[in-house]
Amino acid sequence: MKTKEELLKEFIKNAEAACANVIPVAGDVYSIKFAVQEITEGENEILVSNSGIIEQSLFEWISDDKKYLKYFDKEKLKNTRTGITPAVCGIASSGSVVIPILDDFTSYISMLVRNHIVILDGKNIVNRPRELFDEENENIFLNGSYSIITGPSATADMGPLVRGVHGPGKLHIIVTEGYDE
Amino acid sequence: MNSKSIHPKEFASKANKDNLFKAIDYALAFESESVRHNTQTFNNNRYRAISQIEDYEELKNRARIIKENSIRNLPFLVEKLTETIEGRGGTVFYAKDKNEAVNFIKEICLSNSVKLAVKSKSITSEEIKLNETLEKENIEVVETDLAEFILQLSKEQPSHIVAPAIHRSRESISELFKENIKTEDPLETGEELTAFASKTLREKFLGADVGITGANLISAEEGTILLVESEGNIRLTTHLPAIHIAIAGIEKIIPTRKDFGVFIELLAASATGQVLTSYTNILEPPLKAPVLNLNKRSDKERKFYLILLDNGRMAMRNDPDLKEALYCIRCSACMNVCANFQTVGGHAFGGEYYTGGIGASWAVGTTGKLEEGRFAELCTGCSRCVPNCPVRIDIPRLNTVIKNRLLELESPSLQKMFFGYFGAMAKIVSKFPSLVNYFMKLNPIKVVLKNLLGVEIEREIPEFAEHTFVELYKKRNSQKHHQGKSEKEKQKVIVFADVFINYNNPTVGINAVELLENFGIHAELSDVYDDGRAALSQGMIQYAEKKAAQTTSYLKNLIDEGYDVIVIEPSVLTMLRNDYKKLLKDDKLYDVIKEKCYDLFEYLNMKIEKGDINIDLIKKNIRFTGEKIFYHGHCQLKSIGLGNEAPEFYRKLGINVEVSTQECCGMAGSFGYKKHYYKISKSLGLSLWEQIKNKFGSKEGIVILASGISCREQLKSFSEKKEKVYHPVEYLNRLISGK
Repeated sequence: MKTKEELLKEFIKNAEAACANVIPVAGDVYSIKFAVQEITEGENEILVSNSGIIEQSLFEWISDDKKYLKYFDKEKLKNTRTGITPAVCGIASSGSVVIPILDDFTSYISMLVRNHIVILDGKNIVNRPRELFDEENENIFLNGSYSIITGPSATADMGPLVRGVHGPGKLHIIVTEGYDE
Repeated sequence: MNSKSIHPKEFASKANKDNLFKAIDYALAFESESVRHNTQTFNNNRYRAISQIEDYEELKNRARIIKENSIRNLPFLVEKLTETIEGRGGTVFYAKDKNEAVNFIKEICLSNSVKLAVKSKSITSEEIKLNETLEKENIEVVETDLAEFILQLSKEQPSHIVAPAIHRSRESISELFKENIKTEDPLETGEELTAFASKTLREKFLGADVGITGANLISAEEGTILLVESEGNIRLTTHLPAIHIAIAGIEKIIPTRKDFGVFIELLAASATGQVLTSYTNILEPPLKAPVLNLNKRSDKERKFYLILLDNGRMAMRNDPDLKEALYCIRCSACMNVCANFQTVGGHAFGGEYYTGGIGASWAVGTTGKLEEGRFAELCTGCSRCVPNCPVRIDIPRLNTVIKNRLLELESPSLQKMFFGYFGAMAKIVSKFPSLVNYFMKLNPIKVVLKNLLGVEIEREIPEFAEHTFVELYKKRNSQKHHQGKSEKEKQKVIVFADVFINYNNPTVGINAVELLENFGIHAELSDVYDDGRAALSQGMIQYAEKKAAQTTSYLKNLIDEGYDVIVIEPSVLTMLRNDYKKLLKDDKLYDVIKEKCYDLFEYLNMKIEKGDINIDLIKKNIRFTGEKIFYHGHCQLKSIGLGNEAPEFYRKLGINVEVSTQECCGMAGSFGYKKHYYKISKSLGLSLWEQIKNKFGSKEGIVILASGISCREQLKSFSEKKEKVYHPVEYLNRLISGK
């Protein structure tokens, strides 16, 4: 049985191997804000969906900056380059994040923008994909619809491997390291 | 042949034999390079990915059990799934055949005034020819997977089940786009081509009225669909339009999504060699997410339709042999690992929509026409797919069954009889081997063989030995003064005199006997038996069953007397340890045979490990002067897990051996001798030599070892130094004797 620290370490290694940009942060409001600001530098509008599926404190940083759009229409959704969503959990062996499909725009952001920023609570990482379907695992999201995202969208259909096809070409994962053990 | 003078669609169906031969020539001329590069990349990545799954074998067992149970309970699962989806507001339609399926989808589209449909990759939709039907109703259907987008433009059929445009290089795609699309955008690099296609398709996504997908799996209990992808087009297809139509073969249903975990890990590793692909979508439609493309709809509700396609699947379920194909999870591992598929791809080794070794059963099952599965002839029975299939499907057996049924339908050709009855024929011609060998080399005879039996004129028919293994063994024993059996000689070992070793390669047999004696093991010799391998490769199952029964009845008596049986020819050992399971129809007898028949080096390694024999007994006599040694493992030997036994034995002697990574040499028994398949075989033979050259820098001064008689023939065919190709035991004895 791996410790949470080991799972986090493995998650970071494998997410990077899958070409995600992983930013481990302490988990306080400021560290997350700083990480988001660095990634979104130069962007005027950033879509944000906070579906309430992870700890609200991880999204508190957003309130004081107007370039982060919490409320937006479909046109904005179609035309904005960058968006932020929470992930319900991560998978260590594959470096994946799990994005739920809810009655809001969370899943849309994760598929329509070019730069997808994911906020993941480092406490919510499972070892292997199969554990998402394990009844005994109480910490994870078992029901309903979701997408397991592993790195940016990619294809080799045109010859060489190209990242950024129909989905985001860049996947940034801000993962909190603060776990209480 | 010019690539533009003929289109792959013209020979998509292989019902006609000539189409198969035309397709092979076309694929070798224009598609082989891309197919080989891409399939081998997938295959190498797959090996790496599965090595990282600690419980890979156990996971495969679980997947197999889930699929077996699902197919057994299929009618109940269909009922349960229907109830679940309809309980959630979706609609389920059970289509008995492709006409019912397309008509239902057409009606949905017409009643919802659909103008534009976006579609993700779905072989099932190709099976029912959905696009053609919808386009006749003036509905624009847009393939959004980039490979399918290419094929929609080129009007070609898929050449691979996961990567349908695997036969195309970047250059040919660039040329295709430039010829067919008017745009100012650059269309040269992979990035430019991808950017252009995704920009074009994003517009289509945002305007689509309906999204059509397939399904990797569907769970009956929860009504959950698993859809795996890399590009993100399935996510857009299932989200943006208000209407989602999923079409899936009924075999895709499993009881519960709790089992998805098993398949998700196996699918990604087996298909593209990744831990997971970019997107693994777990969907319970109709989705709750708001509809983006309202397209002037009055209602804002999502609609979901699931079409469960039978189209021959229930009949396959009732077929004791073809049922096995229903376990397929469409990962393509069997194609990527197959040497012939790597050489010609699915335009030759495939039909109108299903490709590769597993594809022939599907082509037969979904059309009801045996002839559509004729491309099963490209399955040589090398069996490399068997241990690499995540649901343990015995694909060569399926193809043998199709060949067998075709024989019953069309009566066996002279070629099939010539190769299939090799044992009986060898027995007769070995009475006058010199005469036969002389005649076989004469050009007029070669021409007759070509015209009458379809034997390739470029090939040399293996010579018949002046003295058979049995004769040499008897002669040797009469000259040898036995000094009574030592303790170790009391181990009862018998070398099996198969027809190939007995009539064609007796010295290999004698070398095996000598090596055993060097370890103090006195080996007796069996009677000569035709194990049925030659017949089975031609699809002559009933004759092979007869031979299997005779061989096992003989071997069983020996085993009961306490003998261990050493089998030298790999294809014969695989027959006994693998194919006899189905041929004998007697599990207990099969288990006895499987347990007590050994590969020579497997046996020696086992004895060394147990401490029964000591490697030093021969190590001190080895006179090795540092030659470069390359070993090509026999495909079937690798498939029963014994591909590394000979190199392992050499390593124990302190001799390093480079091991081939090519899955099969391409000769595969009689396959490489057949005139229509010779070019595939030659391509593989040359590629094997290329590998040897790349490993050692040149072909000079290299010793090549191969356990299979046909592997050695293949390697000799393309070598300038024919005498340097040996059976591993042959070379070992040369090192011991210093000859």
